[in-house]
Amino acid sequence: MIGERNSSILKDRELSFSKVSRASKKNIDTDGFVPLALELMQLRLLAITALLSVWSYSVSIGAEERVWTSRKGADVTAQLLRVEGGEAILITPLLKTVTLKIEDLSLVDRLYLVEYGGVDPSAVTKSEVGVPEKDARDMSKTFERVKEKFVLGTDDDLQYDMLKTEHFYVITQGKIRPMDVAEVAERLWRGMAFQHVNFREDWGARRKLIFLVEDKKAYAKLGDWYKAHLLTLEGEHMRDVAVRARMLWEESSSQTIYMPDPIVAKLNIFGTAKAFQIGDIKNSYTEVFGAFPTHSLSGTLLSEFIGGIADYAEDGAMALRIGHAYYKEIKLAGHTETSLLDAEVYDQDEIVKAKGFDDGTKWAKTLRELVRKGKVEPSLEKLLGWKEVKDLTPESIVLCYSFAYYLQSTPERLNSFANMIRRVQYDGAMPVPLELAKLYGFKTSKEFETDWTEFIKSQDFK
Amino acid sequence: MKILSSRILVLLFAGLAVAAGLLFAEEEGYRTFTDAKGRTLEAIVVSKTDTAVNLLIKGRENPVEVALKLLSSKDQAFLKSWVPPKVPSAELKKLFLKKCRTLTVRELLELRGYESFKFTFANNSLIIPGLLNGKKARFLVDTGAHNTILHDAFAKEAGCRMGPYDEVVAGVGGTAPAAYTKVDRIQLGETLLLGKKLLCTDLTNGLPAGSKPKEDAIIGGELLARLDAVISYRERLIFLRPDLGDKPEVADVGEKAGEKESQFDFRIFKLKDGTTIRGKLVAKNESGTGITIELVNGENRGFTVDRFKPEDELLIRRWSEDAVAFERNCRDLTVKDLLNIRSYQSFETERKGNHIYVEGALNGDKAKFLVDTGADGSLFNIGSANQYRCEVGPMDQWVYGIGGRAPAAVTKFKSIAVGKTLIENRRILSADFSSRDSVGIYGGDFMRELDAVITYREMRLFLRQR
Repeated sequence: MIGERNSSILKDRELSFSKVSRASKKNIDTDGFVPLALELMQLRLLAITALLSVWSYSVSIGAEERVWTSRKGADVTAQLLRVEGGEAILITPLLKTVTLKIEDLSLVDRLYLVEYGGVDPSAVTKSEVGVPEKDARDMSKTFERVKEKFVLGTDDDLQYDMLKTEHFYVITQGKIRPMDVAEVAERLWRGMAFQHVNFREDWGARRKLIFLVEDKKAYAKLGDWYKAHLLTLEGEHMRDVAVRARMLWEESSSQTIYMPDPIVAKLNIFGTAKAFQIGDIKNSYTEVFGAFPTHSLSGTLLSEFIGGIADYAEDGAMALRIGHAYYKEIKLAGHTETSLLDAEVYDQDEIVKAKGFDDGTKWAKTLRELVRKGKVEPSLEKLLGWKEVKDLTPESIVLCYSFAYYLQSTPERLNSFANMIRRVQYDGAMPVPLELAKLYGFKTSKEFETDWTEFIKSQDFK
Repeated sequence: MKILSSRILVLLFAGLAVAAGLLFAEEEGYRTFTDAKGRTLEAIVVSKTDTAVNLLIKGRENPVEVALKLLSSKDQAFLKSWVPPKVPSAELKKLFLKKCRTLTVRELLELRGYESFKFTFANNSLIIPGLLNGKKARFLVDTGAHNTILHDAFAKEAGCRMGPYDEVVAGVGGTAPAAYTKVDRIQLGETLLLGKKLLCTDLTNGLPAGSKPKEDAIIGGELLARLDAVISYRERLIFLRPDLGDKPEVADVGEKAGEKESQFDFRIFKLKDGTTIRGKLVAKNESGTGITIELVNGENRGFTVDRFKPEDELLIRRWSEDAVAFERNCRDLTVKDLLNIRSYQSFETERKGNHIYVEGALNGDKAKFLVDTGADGSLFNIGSANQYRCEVGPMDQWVYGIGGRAPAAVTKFKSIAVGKTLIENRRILSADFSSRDSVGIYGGDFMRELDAVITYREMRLFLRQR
């Protein structure tokens, strides 16, 4: 399944930046270190010394060095020194102390503090949902243009400019600027790393390739190269991929493409890349959080993270993936401009399209009215049964959106969502309805369904 | 105000302390100390220097440093001859456990001469890098493999001499022909294995067309056991003991370090020029740019800090006398101690040949599982799945392994319990394979979920339900 752009209505974005604060000496707490039976003043001084030396043990060895992410916009590589009150005191490789408020730290960091810092488990949910993608500081200064061309063939049309970011290569052809899409990709990456325990480590040092091709003719050339490349790959799955590519390449606005092994090895990139056909409508690509790339890339990041799901246990996987992509698109861009496109390759070669409600700015309001009037009934069983684009109606697509929104709508649910995604990643299987309900603190799937319905009816669903 | 009232309380208390409960206190490791003015308190000695002592005062959570000159001459004499106890008291151990909270399994084991390797996941399988006859290789860490096995195509590329395919290897997919091959050298970090006679087979056997094996070789149970392997899913690390390999690559690693305990004082330092040394850091100059390392053979050698690889450079820069005291106490901790404070449960495993098994329950009935890090997914023996009242579907799926592929059935179960850890209402596959007296394989999927730690030396499996 791939995404297709409908329109391009963009809103201004607001980004907030701030820096981490540094620890000051006042953080040293002498309470509890005053020896009882000895000279008071003298020993208070000694107590401070003792405190320093006790804690210096954990400076010397102790917690692992890791990246800490504050929703206030900064990432810092450091070790945990100690926890004091509501703050984590960290020490950087240059031996500088950094103090960060626990409630501002990523869910991943808070889980770490519960495990290694003795922080109360309630800290995991004592935070706000927030929008870590928007809170990130300006990343563009770290982007670097690569001098060499990215080359897929001898033809000029198969040679591209490259922009290197921390986690992506943005490959462009034509006048399109790669900076905004690179920024979207990095911010979405940060959002995933903020939320999901394994995401940063699983990604590792690899980069993901993103093609931005402006000209239709050049995009067709890329398609020709790709179709020829697919013919060199073996296996039943690759034959399906080849058929889909043949049917959908010209029609779609973005495609997932399998890259040749030598390029994967040389650039240390993921085996699949994302290719965008920009065409005549450039607005989505010239603003951070353009709706369509936000949808497409957030879906890609989630899918890449989860990995494969066994065909016998994929109930709900499609609802989760497309729902999440729409959730991020609407949350970050303020509206949706994406419809879905798929190729039916088993019974007959046919292109299948599906889209949500026509007005991409009012999905929540429209669904809420339908649910309140009883015209649409949220059903977990039905939602988990949708496995192909041809199963989807406008109502069902918006229900998928509401489902993903609900799953991530409070700090408690965000934590449950992270647990669920981790389980899907390990099992290669979606949880059965009862287990999904249990992950969200319910005893039955009916209770889950009722709560989800109430959420849709509420003003929290936007 | 608070300080004053504390003082009064202490003065009242001090008079009583000597008589009351002294015997009891000593049993716990506490000792009565008296200051120059004759006042007393009960405390445990944590550490000492020439001028001060760190005391853990009874009822307090953190130790305090007290100048020796403030104490009575009797106490000063006691402290002069004081040496850290070989077995710390329960209170002291509790204190260090608390302070060790931020300690990772890695740091604990590196204090014991282990070398750690970051592994990467290929699905749920663990892959570590290494060299086979000098050629870069991806090794799959597989507790479910009885022996180490090479992918034959890779073995040929690495210049191994292959014998005839007159051997057979077996796995969940059935059997496959295999050949013995001589491998001159396998290197995993500092661990060397020389002149090994190993089996090799086609690891692509039975895989779907176009698939590539994720590994060049499989490290099996016999090597993991020999090298005292520890596997930590949470930290994504495997730990091996280089000194248990065939030949020490690390300078001085083969030197006898005297008592077993004192060997723990020595760790492996890696230099930027690719060399390694084993020793303990004993001094650092004032500017922090130069250090002295005492090698295992007792020789002292000086180094500039910038000669070390970044991780060791960082460790050296943070080194202090206090750190030494802390490490000395930490080394008395076991992996079990450390994992207990992280809410892990610990289970004894049973070793049969080179396989390890753990007891648990399937759908409420007692069952045994093969602990298999090489399995991406857990798998039931189909006979056991039926016997334990699992919901077994038609044989319309495939499982892949050494020996090719085998038909499998989607199987629903209500619960798998190991201790208090529970995996409930899942769908996995069942296949017809020889599982000895286990109901099947406890694979990487469940072990990742439960942050498993496997220790070969102690033969334990640690699990934790988040």
